[in-house]
Amino acid sequence: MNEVPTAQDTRSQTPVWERRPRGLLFAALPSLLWLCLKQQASGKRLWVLAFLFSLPSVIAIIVRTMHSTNAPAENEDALIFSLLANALVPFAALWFASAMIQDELEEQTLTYLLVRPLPRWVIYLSKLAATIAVTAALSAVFSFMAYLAVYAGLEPAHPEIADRALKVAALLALAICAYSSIFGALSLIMRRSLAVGLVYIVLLEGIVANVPFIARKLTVMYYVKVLVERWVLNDAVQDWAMPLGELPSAANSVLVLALIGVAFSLLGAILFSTREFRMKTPEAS
Amino acid sequence: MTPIVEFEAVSKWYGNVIGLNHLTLQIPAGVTGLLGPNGAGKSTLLQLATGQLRPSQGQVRVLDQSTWNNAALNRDIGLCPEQDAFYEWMTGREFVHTCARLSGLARAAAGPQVERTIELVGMTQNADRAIRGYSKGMRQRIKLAQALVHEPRVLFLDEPLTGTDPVARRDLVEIIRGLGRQGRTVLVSSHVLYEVQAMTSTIVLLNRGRLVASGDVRSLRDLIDKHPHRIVLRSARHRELAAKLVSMPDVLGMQLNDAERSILVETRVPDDFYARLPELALQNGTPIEEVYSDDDNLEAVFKYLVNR
Repeated sequence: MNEVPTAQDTRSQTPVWERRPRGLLFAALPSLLWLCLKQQASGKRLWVLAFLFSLPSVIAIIVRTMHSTNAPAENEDALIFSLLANALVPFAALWFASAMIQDELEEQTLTYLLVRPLPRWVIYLSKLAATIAVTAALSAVFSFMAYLAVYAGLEPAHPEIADRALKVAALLALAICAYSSIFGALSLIMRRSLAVGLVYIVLLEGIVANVPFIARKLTVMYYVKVLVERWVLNDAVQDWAMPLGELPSAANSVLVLALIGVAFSLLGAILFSTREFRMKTPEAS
Repeated sequence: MTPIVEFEAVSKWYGNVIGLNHLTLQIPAGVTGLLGPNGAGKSTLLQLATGQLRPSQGQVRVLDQSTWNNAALNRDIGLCPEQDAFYEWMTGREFVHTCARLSGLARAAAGPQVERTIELVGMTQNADRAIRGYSKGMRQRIKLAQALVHEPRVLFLDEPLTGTDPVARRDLVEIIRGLGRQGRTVLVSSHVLYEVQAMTSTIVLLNRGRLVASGDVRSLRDLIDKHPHRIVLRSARHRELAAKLVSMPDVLGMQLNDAERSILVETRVPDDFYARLPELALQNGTPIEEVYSDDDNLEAVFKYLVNR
């Protein structure tokens, strides 16, 4: 335990807050991103999701060992395009994104970020970026594993599979950007965002996106499926009630997903910047 | 004297609950104690002053700038929050270093500054342990370190002595007094007058969101001393501790709580009693784990002040 140092004896001349670099963000941003990444990449949530994401691979292996007569393309459709992309990816995005602010609120650590000289929108977008990075990494690893489980060791070999797996990882990352920004903003609007998000996933992304009706164009999943047909399967027709001639181009689908991501990220950043977060106050208690 | 922190007719509502009620207040440089029982509005006031809350009415200014959503002002502000919340998986050093970097300190400046601050709060030996394994006293010290690491001009400390042992309490009081001697502005909240009095003679009294009194603590001392002060001590060997306490002339009465291993002590000379505690805690066989003041005593004073 030392005496409190005086301005003269601790520092050369000026206090540290006058010696800070002008580019505050450049000094603080790496630490903020590291902190957010570490928070999202640790904890039980990641392990639970890793288990769920491993299901397509596990099922594929079981199906193959049972000498199933399923063609590999059928397994790919059911396990990768349906189970992984249609169900697990939106759910993972929901779980991570709705918790990125909520966890800090419940653990009351958000204060440590809010009292730093960082604009609130920077805090929010850093958290969102870390959430997207972790979810996208998870989905990329397990989609590669699922492709291996479906196609590895088959005769004749499928050399195009590596390229296809890469494309799937990229389009899942795009979908995760869109979903995470939607669910991140949702978590700032309502307390029960996890429940509401689940209803949204089941009703809109699960049912409406698969019904041949104009409303499907309002879902993220519609554009993901368009990209699967246009980009991953090279315009091969799938049995998804989506005639190729009526589908938007791959470029337009990417643009729509990117716009959804940007719009909801901005909405979340604005909400985070203008909302009060109450800790240890009558309402918080 | 130029005020550093200013509240001008500030009210804050949480739905139907009022947190602060038309509060006008000016805090000068140096250490000021913010006193009030639980629910008085101390935390609301500090969250308004650090820009975490937006006033429902009125204006809050620190260093002549509005506080709400003013990130640039946070360069000059440090907050030691009341909640016992941390990134538990970090070590103490990682936590303070992260806070230093988040405050904008460059990598080269952050390293030595973190070491100095950790040394200042007496945590050098325990800095590389995970926070989840820290005692309450260590947690309070490291929480203070994160508030100090970027050398803010204005510090807000919310109940920084809560749950600490007498040794940590003495050390933290000394640090806070030192900050005041440096000319920094420190607003430290507590519901225990004698804690605050050890740090400063300038106090602000809040009750139910209203300003009850402000100024020199001596003007309130006589009034407060009319009420016996009640202090709770927690120790694994509380009965042995009670045996030692009973011989002290300023101890008026005691009540043992075996379930909580604690003793409720009544005294009319709390200054002397508190001064003796560090020595008592260091004596073999009777370690004191926690000391806190019973809120009822201060509540009685507030009732008197409000009703007179």
